[in-house]
Amino acid sequence: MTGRRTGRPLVPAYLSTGGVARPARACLERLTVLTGTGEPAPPALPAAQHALLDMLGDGSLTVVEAAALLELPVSAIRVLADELLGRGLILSRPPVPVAELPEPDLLKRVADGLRALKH
Amino acid sequence: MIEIPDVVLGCLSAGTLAALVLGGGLWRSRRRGARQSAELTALNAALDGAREEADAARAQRDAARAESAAARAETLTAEALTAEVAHLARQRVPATATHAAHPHVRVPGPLDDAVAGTPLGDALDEVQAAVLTATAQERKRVDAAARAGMRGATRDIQAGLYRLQDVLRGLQEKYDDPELAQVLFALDHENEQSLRRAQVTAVVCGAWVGLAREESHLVEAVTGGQSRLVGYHRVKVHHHLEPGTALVSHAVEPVAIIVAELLDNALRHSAPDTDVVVNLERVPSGVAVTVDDYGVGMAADERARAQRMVAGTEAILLSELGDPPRMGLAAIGQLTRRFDLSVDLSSPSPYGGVRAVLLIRNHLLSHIDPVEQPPAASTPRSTRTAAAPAAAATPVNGHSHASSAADPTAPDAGARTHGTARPAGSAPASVPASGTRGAGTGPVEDAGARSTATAGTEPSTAATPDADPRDTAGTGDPLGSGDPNDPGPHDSGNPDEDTLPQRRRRARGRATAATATAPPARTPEESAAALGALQAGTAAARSEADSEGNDPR
Amino acid sequence: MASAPSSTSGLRRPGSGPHLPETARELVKILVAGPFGVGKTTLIDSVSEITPLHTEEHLTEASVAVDDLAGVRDKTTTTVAIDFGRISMPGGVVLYLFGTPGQERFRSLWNDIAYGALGALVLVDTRRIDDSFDVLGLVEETGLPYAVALNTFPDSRSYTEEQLRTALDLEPGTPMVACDARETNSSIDALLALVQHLIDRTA
Repeated sequence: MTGRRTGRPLVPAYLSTGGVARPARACLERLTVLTGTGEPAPPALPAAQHALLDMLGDGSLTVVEAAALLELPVSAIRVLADELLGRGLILSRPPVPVAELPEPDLLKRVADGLRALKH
Repeated sequence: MIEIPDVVLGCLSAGTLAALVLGGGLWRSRRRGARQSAELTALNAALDGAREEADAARAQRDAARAESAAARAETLTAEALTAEVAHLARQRVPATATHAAHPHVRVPGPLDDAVAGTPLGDALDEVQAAVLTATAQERKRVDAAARAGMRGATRDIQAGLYRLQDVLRGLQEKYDDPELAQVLFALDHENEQSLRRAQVTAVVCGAWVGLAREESHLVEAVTGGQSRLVGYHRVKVHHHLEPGTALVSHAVEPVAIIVAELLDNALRHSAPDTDVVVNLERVPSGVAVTVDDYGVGMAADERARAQRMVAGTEAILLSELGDPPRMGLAAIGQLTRRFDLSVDLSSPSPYGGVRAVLLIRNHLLSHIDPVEQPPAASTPRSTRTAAAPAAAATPVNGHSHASSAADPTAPDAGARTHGTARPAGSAPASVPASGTRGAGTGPVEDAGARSTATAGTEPSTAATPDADPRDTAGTGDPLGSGDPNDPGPHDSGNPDEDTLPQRRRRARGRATAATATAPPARTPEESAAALGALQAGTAAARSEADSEGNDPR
Repeated sequence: MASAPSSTSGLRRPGSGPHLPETARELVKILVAGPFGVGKTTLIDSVSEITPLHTEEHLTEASVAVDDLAGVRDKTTTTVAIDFGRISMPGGVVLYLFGTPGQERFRSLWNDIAYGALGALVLVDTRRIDDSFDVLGLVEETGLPYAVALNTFPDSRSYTEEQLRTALDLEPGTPMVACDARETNSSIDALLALVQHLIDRTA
C-alpha cells in the first residue's frame, strides 16, 4: 500500500505518549468525535500531540479514525486527545448513546440514507 | 611448548658455541691490544716494524686467550646454558604469554646479559617470539569460536524477541483497555531493550544486523534508536533536515543501532536530571547526527580508545571488552566499517560533556515524499518547512558539523544550523531504493500451519476447495463449553459432496463467563473500575440479565 | 487482506477525504463480520465514502531475515486487521462499518467492537460455509441482531436457500440474501436487509 509502511515500525507506539496509556481525564470511546478548536499549537507541544492536532485542523475525526490515520493504537490516541482536551486545543463529542433499542426513526433514516446511495 | 626443546637443541651445536665464545675473547683482547700499541707508539713511533710486532704479539696473545676461552665454553655449555633454558621455560615464556593479554607485565631477558645479542640470545628470543605468535593465534581462534557461538545464540534470541514484538504490538492494537495498554507499553519497551542488547551482541560477534528494513525517514531511525533506551525521556531530538530526508534501506537499522548506542553512552555518562541533545543537520558530505551530553566528558586516553573502537579498524576480541563486556562502542565500530558510516568523538562538547558525531554520507541518503508517506507521528517535526525552496538555501560555508564541533561559541542547536545550510547541489539524491521492500519480504513459510495465516490468501484458498477445513481459521470450539452434545463445526460436511457442513445455533450469552463483565463504555468511573486484561467489556454480561433477547445495544 | 484497496494516501492530504462532514450528528455502527478472505473489506470498500482504514497492518510482509547466509527467515506473526468504512447520510447520520473476523481467539476484541453496534451483517462464502460458524456463534452469544449475506463467487456451488438455512441453522426470521461484495448496489441491498430486519424488530 502506498502511503503506508508495510514493515515493522521503527518507532514504537509508547514513544508517542512517553509511555503513558492511561488518560488523565475521560476515557474516550472509539467513536467519540474529535474537533480542533482552532487555537494555534503551543511551541513545545509534544510531537505526537502536534500530529493529532494538525490532523484535526482540517476537520473532525473519530478516535478510531485518528488512530488509523496516525498509525497508532486507539489507546495512544486516547491519551493524546486527552492531553489536547486538557490544553483546550480540541473538543470531543461522544457518540449516540446506545444503551437502549435504537430508535425506529434513526433506523429509518439509516435505511433511507442507504437507499439514496444506490444508483 | 613442545617446540622449545627443539629450538634449544638447535643452538647446541658445538661449532656454534665455539665460534661464539671465540668471538667474545677476540673482542676483549682487542681492547688490550689497543693499549699496548699506544705504549709502543710512545716508545718508538717511527719504527715501521713496530706494528707488525704488535700484531704478532696480539695474535699470540689472542691464540692463548682463545684456548682458555674454549676451555671455559665447555663448562658454560653444561651450566649456564641449562640455566638459560630453564630460565626461558620458567620465567620468560610464561611472562610472554601473560604479556599478550596484559601488556603491563614485564618480560625478563636472559639470565646473563652477555648472552643478549649473541646467536644463543637470538635463538632464545626466537623461542619467545614463537610463543608469542602461537599464543596470539590461539587467542584469536578461541575468541572467534566464542563469537561464533554467541552469534548463533543471540541470533535466535533476536528472532524470538521480534516475534514477541509482533505479538505485543498486535495486542496493543486489539485491546485498548487503558490498564492493559499500560502494561503492553511497558512490555514493548522492555522488549526493545532486550532486542537492543541481543542485536548489539550479535553485531559485535560479527553477525548481520538481523532485520531488513525498508527505506525510511532518517528521523525515524534516530527516534527508533532513542526508543530502545531506558532513559529515552531525557533525549531531545532537534530535526533540522529538509522534510523527507531518508535513509536507503540497508542503512536504516545500522543508523538506528549506532544512534541508540551513542545515546546510551551519553545517558549513562551524564546526570539523570540532564538532557541529551541530538541535532540532525545537513553537511556537505551528507547528514550529521550530533549527540551532546552534559556529563563530565572523557579523559584524553579514554577518548582516544573510544575513537579507535568506533572507527572499527581494530579487530574485536571479546576477551578485551571487559566484564561485563562493553559492547556498544565495539558494535558501532563493526557497523561504521561495514556500512561506510563514521563516528567522530574527537571534539569535546561545548556543553562540557561528550560530543559524538555520526556522519551519514550522501550515498546512504534518499528521499521519501513527506506528504505521501509522513514519518511516524512521534517523530519531531522538522524546523524546515517542506516548501522551502532549495535554491534559497545559503551556500554552504564549507565547515561541516564535525569540524565545527569544537566551536564553543555555538552552544545552542539553532545557532549551529546556520553554518550548515544545505547547499543547493547537495539535495538528497533521489536514489531509487534498490533494496526497498526486497529483502525480508519473502513469502511466509508454513502459512498453512498457522490459523491466522489464511488472511490475504483468499485466492489460494479458493483454488483448493478440498483443503482440509481444519486448516482454516478459528475452527473448532475452543471455548470448551462443556456441552458434549454440541458437535464440532466440522463434524459434518465435505464441500465436495453436496452435503453442507452443519452448524448448531448458539444461545445468547453462553460465553460470558469466560470473558469480562464490565461494559466497555468509557466513562471515567467505568474506566477506573476496568481492571484486568480482558475486562474490556462484553455485552453478553448484560445479556444474562436480559434473557428476553432484547438488544440493549 | 488480499482484497484491500491499494491506497489510503489520499486520506492524509489536508482538506480532503478523511474528515467528518460538518453536519455529522449521530454516529452509528454496523459490524461486517465474517472469516478471513470472505470479502469484508471488499464490501466496506464498495460502499464507504472513505478508503477503508485499518487500525492494524499485517506484519507478514516485514519478515525478519535474521541470518541471510543461512537463509533463516523469521516467521512473523500474522495479525488481524480491523478495517472500517464510513457513510455520511443526509440528516447528520454517519454510519460506520466495522469489519471484524469474529474468531473465538479474538473474543475480547469482538466484544469491544460489538459494543454499541446496531447489528451485524455476517458474510458467508458458500464454498467454505463452516468458516462462518464461529462468527455466527459469537454474534448470537452477544445477542446482536444479524443478517446473513452470501458473498457469491464465480465458482460457488449453488445450494437451495433451504439447504443453506438448515446448514447455518438460522432462525426463520433471520434475513439471508445473496450479495456480490464488489457491487455497491448489491452491498447496499445486503445492508438494507439488515436494517429492515432491525426496524421490524422494533416495530
